Amino acid sequence: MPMTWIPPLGLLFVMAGPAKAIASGRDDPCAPGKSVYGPSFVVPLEIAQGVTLGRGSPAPYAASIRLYPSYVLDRRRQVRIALAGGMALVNPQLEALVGGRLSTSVFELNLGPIRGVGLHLGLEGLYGTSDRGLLGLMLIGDLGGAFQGTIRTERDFTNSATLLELGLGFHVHDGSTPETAPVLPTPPHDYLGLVAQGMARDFKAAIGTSRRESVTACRALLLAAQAFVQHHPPDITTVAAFRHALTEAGLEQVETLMFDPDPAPAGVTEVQVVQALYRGMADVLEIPPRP
Amino acid sequence: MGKTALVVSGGGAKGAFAVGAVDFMVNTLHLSFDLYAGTSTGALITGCLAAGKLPELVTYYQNASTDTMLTQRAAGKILSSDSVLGSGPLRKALEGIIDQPAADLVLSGTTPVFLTALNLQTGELFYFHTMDGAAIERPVRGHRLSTRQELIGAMLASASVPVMMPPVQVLAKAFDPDFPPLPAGSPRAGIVPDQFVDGGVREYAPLKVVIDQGATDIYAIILSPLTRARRNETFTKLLGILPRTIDALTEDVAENDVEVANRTNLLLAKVAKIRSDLIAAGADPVLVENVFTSAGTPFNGKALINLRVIVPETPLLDGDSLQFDTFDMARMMNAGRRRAKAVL
Repeated sequence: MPMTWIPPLGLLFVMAGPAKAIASGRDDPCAPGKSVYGPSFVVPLEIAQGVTLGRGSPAPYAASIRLYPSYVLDRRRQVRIALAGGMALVNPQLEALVGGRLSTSVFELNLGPIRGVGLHLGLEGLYGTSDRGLLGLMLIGDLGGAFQGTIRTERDFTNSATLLELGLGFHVHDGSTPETAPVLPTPPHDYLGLVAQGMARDFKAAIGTSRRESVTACRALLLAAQAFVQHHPPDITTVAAFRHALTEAGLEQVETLMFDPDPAPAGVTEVQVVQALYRGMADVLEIPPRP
Repeated sequence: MGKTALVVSGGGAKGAFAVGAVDFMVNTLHLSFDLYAGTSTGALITGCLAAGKLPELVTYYQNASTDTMLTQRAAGKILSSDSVLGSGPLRKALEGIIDQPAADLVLSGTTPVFLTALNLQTGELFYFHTMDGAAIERPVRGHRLSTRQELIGAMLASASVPVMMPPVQVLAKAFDPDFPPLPAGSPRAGIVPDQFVDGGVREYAPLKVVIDQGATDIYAIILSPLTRARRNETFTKLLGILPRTIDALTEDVAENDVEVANRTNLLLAKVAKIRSDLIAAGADPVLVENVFTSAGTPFNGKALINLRVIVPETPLLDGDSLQFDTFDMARMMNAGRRRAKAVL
């Protein structure tokens, strides 16, 4: 295998890790407003031209046409992993390009449900058939999910040269979001499950309310709630004590919005009810409650 | 004996307020209803209630995100499409919740439901319903639902905000190919099936239809405040003026719907007063009774309506009601419970 293949191929392997990590990351409940609309598969086509720095003659003109069939790993953050293929003019010869690209959204402004403008940061590894290995970094501006402009810098490891390119493109394919609905959670039918669900609702309502005040207030509430759930003292065995503990932990907002559970059926103890309340909060925080 | 009805208005994501209120009314206050009517998100809610699917409804709304409801179309395809957004996930969710036994329960008409829609072909207000012999008078039209597919289609149609979501062909054939009547000799071939969209364009809270079916105890959940609040801002952008205008139109339709119930009550009270005054003044009670119950009397068989309106005190959402955020949904559900507790 030619040495020049190593950087782009290595990059493709390296890409998989961060792409998976970014895509599986938890959303920040305190920073709402990012659309989760957007397609799961797009194919931008881009035509670019620029200069190759670090080369003398012939003229350092460079141009390329590239196609990026992109799978959107995470539509909220627009984390995309793409195959890259195309043709490049490395004056005076033409070569084919093949490789991959990882990109993620760094800014997004939607006009309600209509896609507006977005800015993506991308990292690309390519192999050129004239035995070049290329590693590129780019900013991609996206307009309405239809057009895009790219500014790219690319390192040519074979010729120890750097390429600067400006590109314009459009989406030759921009699929609608998948028409399959996510699997809906099964509703609880037992009393304690309903208690936990009710607590989850009221805790989420407190988060939703606090973030209308400020992101800082919301984050403080989440931190306090995390500590509250993780340090569940064993002497909290009644709903009244649970309410008092919420206030003591600085979670007055949760306490105010919390509804008392409906009366327990025979055979259910108040200790179990309190455990269900903790479980409801832990479910929202996605942390295991203390047994 | 009068019927107890639940009416839920339209409002997109704000439907979470209604789900919270209904959850409190049914599970905490143990209220039950003989009749349901809903528009848009209210049609989704009342359809699920008639199907006995309150737990599923609560779970769906509490965990809703935009992706569980709608899809976004490619920007380049919007102009050639019938809507800005797709409603595939919502249809799939409804198909998951309204399984065949649930649909059979709704279609049996045990607890009738009325779902408001607008017929795009005729421009008429339309009720899809499950009540045999329902009293629906022109210019409004109605169709008794008979299959699960029709029921799901009707719920989806009622929720399909025009322009934003696609119209729905609920019925396989044109509902009334003879309407409007064509001039004599005109060819009648090629009449297309009717498409239906959100009935909120014409009726935001379908109170009149439940009054017409004999409801006397009405719980109405209306998802926009009925009191005007001054917006202390200068509107300088198209994208600010447009939603404000739509809000004002929606508020107007909602106020008119509530006004129908209030005026019906005023007239019924007046009619009752006239009857008692006539009898007190010495008129023959049998004659009075005959006059007031003769055929064609509009208030024949109607009783005073006990209307309880559950409405948020302040606007529930600042922005787009087709953006579904799980924390906002929970906040509105909590607000709905709180408001129902205060009002009831």
